[in-house]
Amino acid sequence: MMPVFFHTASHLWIFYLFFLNGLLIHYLLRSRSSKYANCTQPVEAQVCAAFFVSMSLNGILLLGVDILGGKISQLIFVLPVVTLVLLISLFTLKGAQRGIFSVDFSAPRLVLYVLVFTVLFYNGGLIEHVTDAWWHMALANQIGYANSFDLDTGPLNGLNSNYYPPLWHGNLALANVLSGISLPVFWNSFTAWGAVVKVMGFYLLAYSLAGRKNVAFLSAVLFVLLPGIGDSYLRVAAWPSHISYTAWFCLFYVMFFAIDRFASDSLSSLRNWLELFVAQRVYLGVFLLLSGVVYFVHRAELLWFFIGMVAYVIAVTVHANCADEQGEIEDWSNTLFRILARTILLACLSVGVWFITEQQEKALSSLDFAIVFLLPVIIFAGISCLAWLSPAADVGQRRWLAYLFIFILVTALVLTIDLRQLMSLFDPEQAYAIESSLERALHATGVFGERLQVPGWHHQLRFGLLYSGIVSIPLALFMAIVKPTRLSLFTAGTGTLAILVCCSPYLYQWLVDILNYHSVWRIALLIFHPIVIAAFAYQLWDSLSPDPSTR
Amino acid sequence: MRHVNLTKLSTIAGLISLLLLILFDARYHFDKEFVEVKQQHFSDQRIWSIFYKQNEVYEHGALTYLEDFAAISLIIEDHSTVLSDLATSYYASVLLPRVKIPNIHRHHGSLRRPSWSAFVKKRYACYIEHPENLQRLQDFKEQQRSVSSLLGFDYILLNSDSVNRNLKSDCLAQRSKKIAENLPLVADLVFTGKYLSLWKLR
Repeated sequence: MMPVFFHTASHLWIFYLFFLNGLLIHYLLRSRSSKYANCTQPVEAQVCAAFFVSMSLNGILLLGVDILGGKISQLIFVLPVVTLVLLISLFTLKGAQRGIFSVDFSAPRLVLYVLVFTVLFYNGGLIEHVTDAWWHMALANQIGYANSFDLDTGPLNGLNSNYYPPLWHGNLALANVLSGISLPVFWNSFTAWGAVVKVMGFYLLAYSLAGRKNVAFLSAVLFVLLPGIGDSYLRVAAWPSHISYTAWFCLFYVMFFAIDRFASDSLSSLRNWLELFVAQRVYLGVFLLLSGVVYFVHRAELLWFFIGMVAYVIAVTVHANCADEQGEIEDWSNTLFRILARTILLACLSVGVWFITEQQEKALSSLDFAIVFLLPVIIFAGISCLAWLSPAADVGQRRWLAYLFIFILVTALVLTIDLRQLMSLFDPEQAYAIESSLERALHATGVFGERLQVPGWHHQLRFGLLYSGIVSIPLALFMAIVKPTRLSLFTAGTGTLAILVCCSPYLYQWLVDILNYHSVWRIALLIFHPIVIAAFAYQLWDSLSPDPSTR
Repeated sequence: MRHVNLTKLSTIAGLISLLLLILFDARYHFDKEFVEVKQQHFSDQRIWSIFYKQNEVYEHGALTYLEDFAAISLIIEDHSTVLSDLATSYYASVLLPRVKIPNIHRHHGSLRRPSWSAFVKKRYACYIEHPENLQRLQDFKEQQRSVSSLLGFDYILLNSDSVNRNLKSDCLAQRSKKIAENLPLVADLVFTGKYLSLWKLR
């Protein structure tokens, strides 16, 4: 029979090891930087900061143990000293700096987080099946015994294994070694904490897009309720990928926060750039810390961040060329964002061209493969032209060019979409056959008879997309056309790109080839339907309100 | 006659549609049958549910074996190789010190290696007496030999839990009683716990 209060000790250890020291460092940072304090005003940002700083601190200590040839168990003496030093530093702060403890929160948000914690405490983590959670825990177990990130062999079979980013496993090993509590117990207990942190991360993402707390709150509620790729999958919150998703949400938050606070409109000289880096060093530091967490926990989210930005940049560029000057969204008037956008597009174009030269033989082997390699290059070339053209040309000229480009783009994409693949999302009977294993891509036939890969909807995608996920894409496009904002353009851009890649064998094959990544289907993570539905609901609600000031 | 505002009506209809969409998609969290069907099909319950109890994790997630594993970890030799059923091999790899516990799964970076999974999943191993299955085993061993030599186990770990769903679905685990009957011929019993027994191969 299961004990009623089992795992209590593990929860206390989780609070200490994964939150407390990070929280203390976070408050010290707030006392030293008003920019950092502003950026972390919401309670969600404070909790996420505490978690990621704690993880990073633990990672640095573990690396020290590894390099110095020590033992993880010796950190039992180091960590309390760190805590003590941090506490003393906090208590010696002057009176004026006590404002660092201010926090932005609201009762509904806190109720949501308490509910999520309670339900996940009651549900527990997904360890009752032999999923790869056990592989991850086995890796953590090995790290604990080896006192090292640098393992000679894989965790199960003793054979050499591919490298897996070890930061989260190292943190689990630390908790296991210091407390003596078993890894499955930690994994199970952390699920409740991880779920809350993940929902908080999503709130921050929604807030950075919408700029409105009510939209962000409703997005967080819908994130808990609506199935998606990662959304509402809260029983798997202790997986490295899901820890990484939270950091990924925060990356968007910090980037948009920094762009919003960029004041200078001139970046013409090296001096301007240096001034920019000095002025923005706090945000840059936070951004780098989060990128480091993602890199050492589950690297793929750095890729999704970049692809998300590409989608947003495409959406903003197209919009900027279609709109008149008054209709431009703020991001496009922002010099920093424009430079960032052009750099991203040029980088994509360069990578596309480089990939053609790299895979010349394959590209020339059939017409289908030629399309696979050329289509992205044509898209990026067109978008880059628009991005560079925008401020120079007059409104009429650039609008005409933008419409022409959109026409060509839409025609090209519609022609490359595999209708059977699209229809099989709704009707599994029509799906391409599963060949070797459930996780492998399926094979469609290109226009010229070549076998090209497409993702299998059966692998989490159908459950995650039907129906709110798929409905959110036209909704976001509608909002982007009717009321273009950062939120509508971002969600329309990311959602459209994700669904196009999943339905077009040419785009999917290109991404599979260039990334050499087995889970490209995860691009559907970029369909942020809780945010779209929340924003659309508020847009409708606002239009009912008789008071225009509430709009 | 009151003026009917069509814009307002369509806005309200839009809001109601959104609400219905949300209720439809969120129903899984409040659907007991969904949980039961998933359990019947051994499908992972990734989403939260108000009908999913912690007992599931406790009874099917190795937490009942912690004491047995703690005792085994004191007696098992470092760097030894242990043979067990699929689920117990995972539990042991997490809860025991540095031992090798190969299993049929190929998680993270071992896709290119030959695997038992096709062999065991199709239950060939349970009907090894059939000549075609023996040939399959022979083929697998040939492939395996070309990659590395994993054979040469030090211990056999048997799990006698009759509740754990992962063991119930594993034909090899289900045959552990039969295995245990014959083990004294080749191995010595070094530990017997509430659920687990450890045999050292001579």
